[in-house]
Amino acid sequence: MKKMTYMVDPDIAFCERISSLLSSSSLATKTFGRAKDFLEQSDSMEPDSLLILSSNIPDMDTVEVMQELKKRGNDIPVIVVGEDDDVPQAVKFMRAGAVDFIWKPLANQKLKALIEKLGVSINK
Amino acid sequence: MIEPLKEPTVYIIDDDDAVRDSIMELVKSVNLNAEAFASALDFLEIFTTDLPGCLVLDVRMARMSGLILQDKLNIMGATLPIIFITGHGDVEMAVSVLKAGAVDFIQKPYHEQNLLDSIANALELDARNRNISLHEDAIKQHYEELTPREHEVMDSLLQGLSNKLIARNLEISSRTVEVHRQHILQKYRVKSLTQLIHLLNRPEA
Repeated sequence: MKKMTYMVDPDIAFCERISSLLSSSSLATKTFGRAKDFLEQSDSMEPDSLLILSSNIPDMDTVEVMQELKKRGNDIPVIVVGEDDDVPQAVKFMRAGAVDFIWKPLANQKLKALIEKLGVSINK
Repeated sequence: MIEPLKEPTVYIIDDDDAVRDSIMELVKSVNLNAEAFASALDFLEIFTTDLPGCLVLDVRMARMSGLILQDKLNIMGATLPIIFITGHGDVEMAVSVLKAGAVDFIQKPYHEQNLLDSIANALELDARNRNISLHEDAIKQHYEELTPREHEVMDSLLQGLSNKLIARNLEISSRTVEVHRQHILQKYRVKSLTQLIHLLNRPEA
């Protein structure tokens, strides 16, 4: 089954950039501007997928989204994208169970390397 | 229940005398045990995996950095929770030490209450981990006390089979099954099969 990258980020330009980067590696992306829309369909998500979650979602706190997923028994790996390189933010999200924390502006290379490391297939 | 041999202790490792002393004073002010070390190597000299407590560890130190100490402790199978403190941390460093299992990464100047909260969390986590592993050790020890026949009877009991059925399967009398059953309960120091199931299923007990 095709692995899926889910994104929750109100920054449309950023979502589009990541989507096109991942699709150039034939990896599908589904993007959401609001956490609630993402959570609504989270019970029917593809297995072995990945979530790229903004630290700055308009309708919910990012840590709450992670807790909500855990509560539903959903252990999708979460990469949090911060607005800048803020250490306390990074610590907060890592302690909440993120597998990684990256920040904008984001180099394509860094994101590709990350997704490869997490075992999501790229270029296959 | 087997008690840990040592009191939980906050091990403070920092090569800056002033920082070390002030953290030491802070930790002692809330009546926790604390020991301070001026270098990672000094700490490694006394370290054993059975030390309960947590580590408050400076990142940048002469001779051996906190990051290298974390690696070494991980290789040794240490479970002691680590709180990093640093004056020069960046996000990459924070993410990397947390991925390697550290429980917190605090920048200097630190808020005293934040550090104390983090230490309290770390001590709680350590106590929980140690209880689970003590409990697992105890259960393993009881299991090893059983005879091969008792193992067979216990496996059948845990599958929910009746004495009668076990007797038939093992080609022994129901009375003998009952004797084995009593021995098993005695060896696990429980009074009933229900208690035994409870014991085996509850790591936090």
